[in-house]
Amino acid sequence: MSTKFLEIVNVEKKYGTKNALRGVSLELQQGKIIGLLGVNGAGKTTLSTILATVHPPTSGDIFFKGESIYRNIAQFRRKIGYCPQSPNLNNELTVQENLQAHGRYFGFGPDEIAGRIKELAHSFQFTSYLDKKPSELSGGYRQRVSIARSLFHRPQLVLLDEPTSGLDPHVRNQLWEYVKKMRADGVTILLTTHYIEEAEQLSDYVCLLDKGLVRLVDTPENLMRTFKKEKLEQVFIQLAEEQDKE
Amino acid sequence: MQNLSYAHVIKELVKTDLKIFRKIAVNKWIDMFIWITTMILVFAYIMPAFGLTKSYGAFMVATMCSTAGLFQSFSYLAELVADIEGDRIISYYFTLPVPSWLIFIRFIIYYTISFMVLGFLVLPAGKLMLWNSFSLAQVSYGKLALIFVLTNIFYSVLALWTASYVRSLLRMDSVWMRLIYPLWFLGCFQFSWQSLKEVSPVLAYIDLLNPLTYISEGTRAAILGQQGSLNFWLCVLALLFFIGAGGWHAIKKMKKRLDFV
Repeated sequence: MSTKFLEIVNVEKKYGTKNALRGVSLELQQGKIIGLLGVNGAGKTTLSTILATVHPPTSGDIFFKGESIYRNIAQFRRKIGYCPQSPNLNNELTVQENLQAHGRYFGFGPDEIAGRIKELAHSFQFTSYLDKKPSELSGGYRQRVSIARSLFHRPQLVLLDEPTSGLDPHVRNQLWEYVKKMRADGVTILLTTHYIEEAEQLSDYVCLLDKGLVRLVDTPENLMRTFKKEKLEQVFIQLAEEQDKE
Repeated sequence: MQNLSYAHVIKELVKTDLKIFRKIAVNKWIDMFIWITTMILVFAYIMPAFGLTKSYGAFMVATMCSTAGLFQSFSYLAELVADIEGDRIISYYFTLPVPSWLIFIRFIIYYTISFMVLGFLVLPAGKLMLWNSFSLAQVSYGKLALIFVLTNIFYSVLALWTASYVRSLLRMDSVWMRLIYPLWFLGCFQFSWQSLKEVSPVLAYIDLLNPLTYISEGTRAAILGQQGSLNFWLCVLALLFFIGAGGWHAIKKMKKRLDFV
Protein backbone atom coordinates (compact mmCIF):
# COMPACT_ATOMS: atom_id res chain seq x y z
CA MET A 1 0.00 0.00 0.00
CA SER A 2 1.55 3.33 -1.01
CA THR A 3 1.53 6.28 1.37
CA LYS A 4 0.08 9.50 0.07
CA PHE A 5 2.63 12.27 -0.40
CA LEU A 6 0.58 15.17 0.92
CA GLU A 7 -3.04 15.03 1.92
CA ILE A 8 -5.09 18.06 2.91
CA VAL A 9 -8.11 16.94 4.90
CA ASN A 10 -11.11 19.21 5.43
CA VAL A 11 -9.05 22.32 6.10
CA GLU A 12 -10.97 25.39 7.20
CA LYS A 13 -9.64 28.88 7.82
CA LYS A 14 -11.65 31.64 9.40
CA TYR A 15 -10.60 35.27 9.80
CA GLY A 16 -13.12 36.61 12.27
CA THR A 17 -16.48 35.88 10.68
CA LYS A 18 -15.03 35.42 7.17
CA ASN A 19 -14.48 31.87 5.95
CA ALA A 20 -11.41 31.98 3.72
CA LEU A 21 -11.36 28.18 3.35
CA ARG A 22 -14.44 26.05 3.91
CA GLY A 23 -13.35 22.45 4.22
CA VAL A 24 -10.69 22.00 1.55
CA SER A 25 -9.62 18.42 0.88
CA LEU A 26 -6.96 17.78 -1.70
CA GLU A 27 -4.19 15.33 -2.46
CA LEU A 28 -0.78 16.19 -3.87
CA GLN A 29 1.10 13.40 -5.61
CA GLN A 30 4.85 13.07 -5.46
CA GLY A 31 6.66 14.43 -8.50
CA LYS A 32 3.60 16.16 -9.89
CA ILE A 33 2.75 19.79 -10.45
CA ILE A 34 -0.64 20.93 -9.26
CA GLY A 35 -1.88 24.28 -10.48
CA LEU A 36 -4.04 26.13 -7.98
CA LEU A 37 -6.44 28.43 -9.77
CA GLY A 38 -9.21 30.74 -8.72
CA VAL A 39 -10.32 34.34 -8.78
CA ASN A 40 -9.07 36.87 -6.23
CA GLY A 41 -10.34 35.96 -2.77
CA ALA A 42 -10.90 32.30 -3.68
CA GLY A 43 -8.50 31.20 -0.95
CA LYS A 44 -5.41 30.31 -2.99
CA THR A 45 -2.90 32.31 -0.95
CA THR A 46 -4.55 31.26 2.30
CA LEU A 47 -4.11 27.61 1.34
CA SER A 48 -0.50 28.22 0.28
CA THR A 49 0.40 29.92 3.56
CA ILE A 50 -1.22 27.12 5.55
CA LEU A 51 0.78 24.52 3.60
CA ALA A 52 3.89 26.63 4.12
CA THR A 53 3.12 26.52 7.87
CA VAL A 54 3.10 30.31 8.09
CA HIS A 55 -0.45 30.16 9.45
CA PRO A 56 -2.40 27.32 11.09
CA PRO A 57 -5.77 26.10 9.82
CA THR A 58 -8.79 26.79 12.01
CA SER A 59 -9.71 23.12 11.68
CA GLY A 60 -8.74 20.11 9.60
CA ASP A 61 -5.34 18.54 9.17
CA ILE A 62 -2.54 18.07 6.66
CA PHE A 63 -0.68 14.79 6.34
CA PHE A 64 2.78 14.43 4.85
CA LYS A 65 3.55 10.82 3.99
CA GLY A 66 0.84 9.70 6.36
CA GLU A 67 1.81 11.85 9.37
CA SER A 68 0.25 15.12 10.47
CA ILE A 69 2.66 17.95 9.69
CA TYR A 70 1.80 19.52 13.03
CA ARG A 71 3.36 16.61 14.95
CA ASN A 72 6.83 17.80 13.99
CA ILE A 73 6.52 21.08 12.18
CA ALA A 74 10.27 21.79 12.09
CA GLN A 75 10.91 18.51 10.30
CA PHE A 76 8.19 19.28 7.75
CA ARG A 77 9.65 22.74 7.17
CA ARG A 78 12.95 21.17 6.10
CA LYS A 79 11.08 19.50 3.26
CA ILE A 80 9.21 22.49 1.89
CA GLY A 81 10.23 25.57 -0.01
CA TYR A 82 7.88 28.53 -0.03
CA CYS A 83 7.99 31.51 -2.34
CA PRO A 84 5.37 34.06 -1.26
CA GLN A 85 3.54 36.42 -3.57
CA SER A 86 5.55 39.42 -2.30
CA PRO A 87 9.26 38.76 -1.83
CA ASN A 88 10.20 39.08 1.84
CA LEU A 89 13.97 39.22 1.55
CA ASN A 90 16.10 40.97 4.15
CA ASN A 91 16.94 44.41 2.77
CA GLU A 92 19.82 44.88 5.20
CA LEU A 93 21.70 42.01 3.53
CA THR A 94 22.90 41.66 -0.04
CA VAL A 95 21.32 39.06 -2.33
CA GLN A 96 24.32 36.81 -1.73
CA GLU A 97 24.11 37.24 2.04
CA ASN A 98 20.37 36.45 1.97
CA LEU A 99 21.07 33.19 0.19
CA GLN A 100 24.10 32.35 2.34
CA ALA A 101 22.07 32.87 5.49
CA HIS A 102 19.29 30.65 4.17
CA GLY A 103 21.79 27.92 3.40
CA ARG A 104 23.22 28.10 6.90
CA TYR A 105 19.74 27.94 8.48
CA PHE A 106 19.26 24.66 6.63
CA GLY A 107 22.62 23.25 7.68
CA PHE A 108 24.58 23.67 4.44
CA GLY A 109 28.36 24.02 4.61
CA PRO A 110 30.27 26.95 3.01
CA ASP A 111 31.29 25.09 -0.15
CA GLU A 112 27.82 23.72 -0.73
CA ILE A 113 26.36 27.20 -0.20
CA ALA A 114 28.78 28.76 -2.67
CA GLY A 115 27.98 26.10 -5.26
CA ARG A 116 24.25 26.43 -4.79
CA ILE A 117 24.37 30.23 -5.07
CA LYS A 118 26.35 29.97 -8.30
CA GLU A 119 23.93 27.43 -9.75
CA LEU A 120 20.74 29.30 -8.80
CA ALA A 121 22.09 32.75 -9.72
CA HIS A 122 22.97 31.34 -13.13
CA SER A 123 19.60 29.61 -13.56
CA PHE A 124 17.63 32.73 -12.65
CA GLN A 125 20.14 35.16 -14.16
CA PHE A 126 20.96 37.39 -11.23
CA THR A 127 24.69 36.66 -10.97
CA SER A 128 25.57 40.31 -11.56
CA TYR A 129 23.24 41.40 -8.77
CA LEU A 130 24.62 39.20 -6.01
CA ASP A 131 26.29 42.14 -4.27
CA LYS A 132 23.20 44.36 -4.41
CA LYS A 133 20.63 44.68 -1.67
CA PRO A 134 17.12 43.49 -2.57
CA SER A 135 15.81 47.04 -2.12
CA GLU A 136 18.09 48.12 -4.99
CA LEU A 137 16.60 45.55 -7.39
CA SER A 138 13.52 45.76 -9.59
CA GLY A 139 10.45 43.78 -8.54
CA GLY A 140 11.21 41.10 -11.14
CA TYR A 141 14.73 40.51 -9.86
CA ARG A 142 13.56 40.43 -6.25
CA GLN A 143 11.07 37.77 -7.31
CA ARG A 144 13.82 35.72 -8.97
CA VAL A 145 15.92 35.84 -5.81
CA SER A 146 12.91 34.92 -3.70
CA ILE A 147 12.20 31.90 -5.92
CA ALA A 148 15.87 30.89 -5.78
CA ARG A 149 15.84 31.10 -1.98
CA SER A 150 12.76 28.88 -1.77
CA LEU A 151 14.52 26.23 -3.87
CA PHE A 152 17.93 26.61 -2.21
CA HIS A 153 17.67 23.71 0.25
CA ARG A 154 16.33 21.31 -2.39
CA PRO A 155 12.87 20.85 -0.87
CA GLN A 156 10.65 17.89 -1.69
CA LEU A 157 7.58 20.13 -1.88
CA VAL A 158 7.74 23.59 -3.43
CA LEU A 159 4.96 26.12 -2.92
CA LEU A 160 5.07 28.91 -5.47
CA ASP A 161 2.50 31.66 -4.93
CA GLU A 162 2.11 33.68 -8.13
CA PRO A 163 5.81 33.20 -8.90
CA THR A 164 5.80 34.70 -12.37
CA SER A 165 3.83 37.88 -11.77
CA GLY A 166 6.14 40.76 -12.62
CA LEU A 167 8.60 38.58 -14.48
CA ASP A 168 9.63 39.23 -18.08
CA PRO A 169 8.39 36.57 -20.55
CA HIS A 170 11.86 35.10 -21.13
CA VAL A 171 12.49 34.76 -17.38
CA ARG A 172 9.04 33.26 -17.00
CA ASN A 173 10.01 30.66 -19.61
CA GLN A 174 13.24 29.94 -17.73
CA LEU A 175 11.31 29.42 -14.52
CA TRP A 176 8.95 27.06 -16.33
CA GLU A 177 11.91 25.05 -17.55
CA TYR A 178 13.34 24.95 -14.04
CA VAL A 179 9.99 23.84 -12.63
CA LYS A 180 9.80 21.04 -15.21
CA LYS A 181 13.34 19.99 -14.31
CA MET A 182 12.41 19.85 -10.62
CA ARG A 183 9.39 17.70 -11.47
CA ALA A 184 11.66 15.36 -13.41
CA ASP A 185 13.79 15.14 -10.24
CA GLY A 186 10.73 14.02 -8.26
CA VAL A 187 9.91 17.35 -6.61
CA THR A 188 6.24 18.09 -5.99
CA ILE A 189 5.10 21.61 -6.84
CA LEU A 190 2.01 23.55 -5.88
CA LEU A 191 1.77 26.45 -8.27
CA THR A 192 -0.67 29.21 -7.48
CA THR A 193 -1.20 31.30 -10.54
CA HIS A 194 -3.46 33.76 -12.31
CA TYR A 195 -2.03 32.75 -15.66
CA ILE A 196 -4.17 29.94 -17.01
CA GLU A 197 -1.67 29.41 -19.81
CA GLU A 198 0.99 28.80 -17.18
CA ALA A 199 -1.19 26.23 -15.43
CA GLU A 200 -1.97 24.54 -18.74
CA GLN A 201 1.71 24.38 -19.72
CA LEU A 202 3.03 23.11 -16.43
CA SER A 203 0.37 21.39 -14.37
CA ASP A 204 -0.26 17.69 -14.23
CA TYR A 205 -3.44 18.56 -12.34
CA VAL A 206 -5.30 21.77 -11.82
CA CYS A 207 -7.44 22.58 -8.81
CA LEU A 208 -10.02 25.31 -9.02
CA LEU A 209 -10.79 27.02 -5.76
CA ASP A 210 -13.96 29.02 -5.49
CA LYS A 211 -15.04 30.91 -2.36
CA GLY A 212 -12.90 28.72 -0.16
CA LEU A 213 -14.04 25.42 -1.65
CA VAL A 214 -12.45 23.01 -4.12
CA ARG A 215 -14.70 23.19 -7.14
CA LEU A 216 -12.85 20.68 -9.28
CA VAL A 217 -9.57 18.82 -9.62
CA ASP A 218 -8.52 17.19 -12.87
CA THR A 219 -5.85 17.10 -15.53
CA PRO A 220 -5.93 19.99 -18.02
CA GLU A 221 -6.50 17.47 -20.85
CA ASN A 222 -9.52 15.90 -19.13
CA LEU A 223 -11.02 19.29 -18.39
CA MET A 224 -10.68 20.42 -21.99
CA ARG A 225 -12.18 17.12 -23.17
CA THR A 226 -15.07 17.24 -20.70
CA PHE A 227 -15.93 20.83 -21.47
CA LYS A 228 -15.19 20.37 -25.19
CA LYS A 229 -12.76 23.27 -25.30
CA GLU A 230 -9.38 23.66 -26.96
CA LYS A 231 -7.85 25.83 -24.26
CA LEU A 232 -7.95 25.61 -20.50
CA GLU A 233 -8.70 29.31 -20.40
CA GLN A 234 -11.98 28.68 -22.24
CA VAL A 235 -12.91 26.06 -19.64
CA PHE A 236 -12.40 28.57 -16.86
CA ILE A 237 -14.34 31.26 -18.65
CA GLN A 238 -17.25 28.84 -18.94
CA LEU A 239 -16.96 27.86 -15.29
CA ALA A 240 -16.79 31.50 -14.23
CA GLU A 241 -19.93 32.24 -16.23
CA GLU A 242 -21.71 29.28 -14.60
CA GLN A 243 -20.66 30.56 -11.17
CA ASP A 244 -21.99 34.02 -11.97
CA LYS A 245 -25.34 32.50 -12.89
CA GLU A 246 -25.45 30.60 -9.59
CA MET B 1 20.72 17.79 7.49
CA GLN B 2 18.46 15.43 9.39
CA ASN B 3 20.35 16.17 12.59
CA LEU B 4 19.96 19.89 12.18
CA SER B 5 19.24 21.09 15.69
CA TYR B 6 17.04 23.98 16.71
CA ALA B 7 20.05 25.50 18.48
CA HIS B 8 21.97 25.54 15.18
CA VAL B 9 19.18 27.43 13.38
CA ILE B 10 18.79 29.95 16.21
CA LYS B 11 22.57 30.42 16.40
CA GLU B 12 22.72 31.12 12.67
CA LEU B 13 19.79 33.54 12.87
CA VAL B 14 21.47 35.45 15.70
CA LYS B 15 24.76 35.46 13.76
CA THR B 16 22.96 37.03 10.80
CA ASP B 17 21.35 39.60 13.10
CA LEU B 18 24.73 40.48 14.59
CA LYS B 19 26.24 40.80 11.14
CA ILE B 20 23.64 43.48 10.40
CA PHE B 21 24.20 45.03 13.83
CA ARG B 22 27.94 45.34 13.14
CA LYS B 23 27.12 47.64 10.23
CA ILE B 24 25.26 50.07 12.50
CA ALA B 25 27.13 49.56 15.79
CA VAL B 26 29.46 52.56 15.38
CA ASN B 27 26.50 54.87 14.82
CA LYS B 28 24.74 53.42 17.84
CA TRP B 29 27.86 53.93 19.95
CA ILE B 30 28.02 57.57 18.87
CA ASP B 31 24.35 57.98 19.87
CA MET B 32 25.08 56.34 23.19
CA PHE B 33 28.16 58.48 23.80
CA ILE B 34 26.18 61.67 23.17
CA TRP B 35 23.49 60.52 25.61
CA ILE B 36 26.02 59.60 28.31
CA THR B 37 28.03 62.82 28.06
CA THR B 38 24.91 64.99 28.00
CA MET B 39 23.44 63.30 31.06
CA ILE B 40 26.68 63.42 33.04
CA LEU B 41 27.32 67.01 32.03
CA VAL B 42 23.89 68.08 33.25
CA PHE B 43 23.64 65.96 36.41
CA ALA B 44 27.27 66.06 37.58
CA TYR B 45 28.41 69.52 36.53
CA ILE B 46 25.40 71.82 35.96
CA MET B 47 22.73 70.64 38.42
CA PRO B 48 25.04 70.87 41.50
CA ALA B 49 25.00 74.65 40.85
CA PHE B 50 21.26 74.44 41.62
CA GLY B 51 21.87 72.66 44.90
CA LEU B 52 22.04 69.04 43.75
CA THR B 53 24.58 66.97 45.70
CA LYS B 54 27.96 66.45 43.98
CA SER B 55 27.68 62.67 44.33
CA TYR B 56 24.58 62.69 42.15
CA GLY B 57 26.76 62.22 39.06
CA ALA B 58 27.90 58.80 40.29
CA PHE B 59 24.29 57.95 41.18
CA MET B 60 23.23 58.78 37.61
CA VAL B 61 26.05 56.80 35.98
CA ALA B 62 24.98 53.77 37.97
CA THR B 63 21.40 54.19 36.81
CA MET B 64 22.35 54.93 33.21
CA CYS B 65 24.02 51.51 33.03
CA SER B 66 20.57 50.07 33.54
CA THR B 67 18.73 52.40 31.17
CA ALA B 68 20.83 52.26 28.01
CA GLY B 69 18.93 49.23 26.69
CA LEU B 70 15.54 50.83 27.25
CA PHE B 71 16.06 53.42 24.51
CA GLN B 72 17.46 50.83 22.15
CA SER B 73 14.44 48.61 22.81
CA PHE B 74 12.23 51.40 21.49
CA SER B 75 14.18 51.34 18.24
CA TYR B 76 13.81 47.54 17.86
CA LEU B 77 10.15 47.80 18.73
CA ALA B 78 9.67 50.29 15.87
CA GLU B 79 11.59 47.98 13.50
CA LEU B 80 9.42 45.02 14.43
CA VAL B 81 6.16 46.94 14.07
CA ALA B 82 7.33 48.32 10.70
CA ASP B 83 8.08 44.79 9.50
CA ILE B 84 4.76 43.38 10.70
CA GLU B 85 2.95 46.25 8.97
CA GLY B 86 5.12 46.15 5.86
CA ASP B 87 7.44 43.56 4.30
CA ARG B 88 6.61 40.78 6.75
CA ILE B 89 10.12 39.34 6.72
CA ILE B 90 9.02 37.69 9.96
CA SER B 91 6.79 35.34 7.90
CA TYR B 92 9.93 33.95 6.27
CA TYR B 93 11.28 32.97 9.68
CA PHE B 94 8.11 30.95 10.28
CA THR B 95 9.11 28.71 7.38
CA LEU B 96 12.51 27.83 8.86
CA PRO B 97 13.07 24.42 10.46
CA VAL B 98 12.34 25.43 14.06
CA PRO B 99 9.13 25.74 16.07
CA SER B 100 7.72 29.23 15.47
CA TRP B 101 7.92 30.37 19.09
CA LEU B 102 11.71 29.92 19.00
CA ILE B 103 11.89 32.76 16.48
CA PHE B 104 10.96 35.07 19.35
CA ILE B 105 13.61 33.55 21.58
CA ARG B 106 16.07 34.41 18.82
CA PHE B 107 14.83 38.04 18.87
CA ILE B 108 15.34 38.12 22.63
CA ILE B 109 18.89 36.72 22.33
CA TYR B 110 19.86 39.17 19.61
CA TYR B 111 18.29 42.19 21.28
CA THR B 112 19.94 41.31 24.60
CA ILE B 113 23.39 40.96 23.05
CA SER B 114 23.11 44.25 21.19
CA PHE B 115 21.80 46.11 24.27
CA MET B 116 24.73 44.77 26.28
CA VAL B 117 27.25 45.75 23.63
CA LEU B 118 25.93 49.32 23.75
CA GLY B 119 25.44 49.44 27.51
CA PHE B 120 29.03 48.37 28.22
CA LEU B 121 30.11 51.86 27.24
CA VAL B 122 28.38 53.60 30.16
CA LEU B 123 30.59 52.57 33.06
CA PRO B 124 34.00 53.39 31.53
CA ALA B 125 32.65 56.59 29.97
CA GLY B 126 31.17 57.59 33.34
CA LYS B 127 34.46 56.90 35.08
CA LEU B 128 36.36 58.95 32.49
CA MET B 129 34.03 61.92 32.89
CA LEU B 130 33.66 61.87 36.66
CA TRP B 131 37.06 60.44 37.55
CA ASN B 132 37.61 61.07 41.29
CA SER B 133 33.91 61.61 42.01
CA PHE B 134 33.09 58.08 40.89
CA SER B 135 34.82 55.19 42.58
CA LEU B 136 34.80 51.75 41.01
CA ALA B 137 36.19 50.22 44.22
CA GLN B 138 32.75 49.35 45.59
CA VAL B 139 31.47 47.79 42.35
CA SER B 140 30.46 44.16 42.75
CA TYR B 141 31.27 42.96 39.23
CA GLY B 142 29.57 39.59 39.64
CA LYS B 143 26.33 41.20 40.73
CA LEU B 144 26.65 43.87 38.04
CA ALA B 145 27.07 41.22 35.34
CA LEU B 146 24.00 39.35 36.58
CA ILE B 147 21.72 42.37 36.81
CA PHE B 148 23.07 43.75 33.52
CA VAL B 149 22.16 40.55 31.66
CA LEU B 150 18.73 40.29 33.30
CA THR B 151 18.03 43.96 32.64
CA ASN B 152 18.75 43.63 28.96
CA ILE B 153 16.76 40.41 28.64
CA PHE B 154 13.89 42.29 30.23
CA TYR B 155 14.16 45.15 27.71
CA SER B 156 14.13 42.60 24.89
CA VAL B 157 10.98 41.05 26.28
CA LEU B 158 9.49 44.52 26.71
CA ALA B 159 10.14 45.31 23.03
CA LEU B 160 8.39 42.09 21.95
CA TRP B 161 5.51 42.53 24.36
CA THR B 162 4.90 46.09 23.26
CA ALA B 163 5.17 45.17 19.55
CA SER B 164 2.41 42.62 20.07
CA TYR B 165 0.09 45.48 21.03
CA VAL B 166 1.12 48.31 18.72
CA ARG B 167 -1.06 48.25 15.63
CA SER B 168 0.75 50.86 13.58
CA LEU B 169 3.91 52.92 13.42
CA LEU B 170 1.70 55.99 13.74
CA ARG B 171 1.00 54.95 17.32
CA MET B 172 4.63 54.77 18.35
CA ASP B 173 4.53 58.19 19.98
CA SER B 174 1.76 56.89 22.26
CA VAL B 175 4.01 53.98 23.26
CA TRP B 176 6.63 56.46 24.30
CA MET B 177 4.27 58.80 26.18
CA ARG B 178 2.00 56.18 27.74
CA LEU B 179 4.39 53.35 28.50
CA ILE B 180 8.12 54.00 28.23
CA TYR B 181 8.18 57.51 29.69
CA PRO B 182 6.13 56.75 32.86
CA LEU B 183 7.93 53.45 33.40
CA TRP B 184 11.27 55.19 33.09
CA PHE B 185 10.56 58.35 35.03
CA LEU B 186 8.80 56.55 37.89
CA GLY B 187 11.23 53.63 37.76
CA CYS B 188 13.62 55.11 40.34
CA PHE B 189 15.82 56.44 37.55
CA GLN B 190 16.55 59.79 39.21
CA PHE B 191 15.76 58.89 42.81
CA SER B 192 16.05 55.89 45.07
CA TRP B 193 13.08 53.84 46.18
CA GLN B 194 13.88 54.73 49.81
CA SER B 195 13.63 58.44 49.05
CA LEU B 196 10.36 57.88 47.20
CA LYS B 197 9.04 56.00 50.24
CA GLU B 198 9.89 58.94 52.45
CA VAL B 199 7.98 61.30 50.15
CA SER B 200 5.00 59.00 49.48
CA PRO B 201 4.84 55.45 50.88
CA VAL B 202 1.73 54.68 48.80
CA LEU B 203 3.40 55.69 45.55
CA ALA B 204 6.53 53.79 46.60
CA TYR B 205 4.59 50.54 47.10
CA ILE B 206 2.71 51.04 43.84
CA ASP B 207 6.10 51.58 42.20
CA LEU B 208 7.08 48.07 43.21
CA LEU B 209 4.86 46.98 40.31
CA ASN B 210 7.18 48.82 37.95
CA PRO B 211 9.94 46.48 36.68
CA LEU B 212 12.27 49.43 36.07
CA THR B 213 12.32 50.07 39.81
CA TYR B 214 14.08 46.74 40.33
CA ILE B 215 16.41 47.42 37.41
CA SER B 216 17.51 50.83 38.73
CA GLU B 217 17.74 49.69 42.34
CA GLY B 218 19.50 46.42 41.55
CA THR B 219 22.06 48.09 39.30
CA ARG B 220 22.80 50.76 41.89
CA ALA B 221 23.15 48.08 44.56
CA ALA B 222 25.74 46.36 42.35
CA ILE B 223 27.67 49.53 41.49
CA LEU B 224 27.36 51.76 44.56
CA GLY B 225 26.78 49.14 47.25
CA GLN B 226 23.68 47.73 48.90
CA GLN B 227 23.11 50.63 51.30
CA GLY B 228 20.17 52.83 50.31
CA SER B 229 18.88 50.46 47.61
CA LEU B 230 16.32 47.67 47.52
CA ASN B 231 17.81 44.27 48.30
CA PHE B 232 19.80 43.11 45.27
CA TRP B 233 18.46 39.56 45.32
CA LEU B 234 14.88 40.78 45.60
CA CYS B 235 15.55 42.81 42.44
CA VAL B 236 16.93 39.71 40.70
CA LEU B 237 13.89 37.61 41.66
CA ALA B 238 11.46 40.34 40.60
CA LEU B 239 13.21 40.69 37.25
CA LEU B 240 13.14 36.94 36.69
CA PHE B 241 9.41 37.05 37.32
CA PHE B 242 8.84 39.95 34.90
CA ILE B 243 10.99 38.26 32.24
CA GLY B 244 9.14 34.94 32.58
CA ALA B 245 5.64 36.38 32.73
CA GLY B 246 6.33 39.07 30.14
CA GLY B 247 8.02 36.67 27.74
CA TRP B 248 5.21 34.13 27.97
CA HIS B 249 2.57 36.81 27.45
CA ALA B 250 4.50 38.49 24.60
CA ILE B 251 4.74 35.21 22.65
CA LYS B 252 1.07 34.45 23.34
CA LYS B 253 0.02 37.89 22.08
CA MET B 254 2.33 37.63 19.08
CA LYS B 255 0.80 34.26 18.22
CA LYS B 256 -2.61 35.88 18.18
CA ARG B 257 -1.44 38.89 16.21
CA LEU B 258 0.66 37.08 13.60
CA ASP B 259 -1.45 33.91 13.59
CA PHE B 260 1.58 31.63 13.45
CA VAL B 261 1.58 27.87 13.94
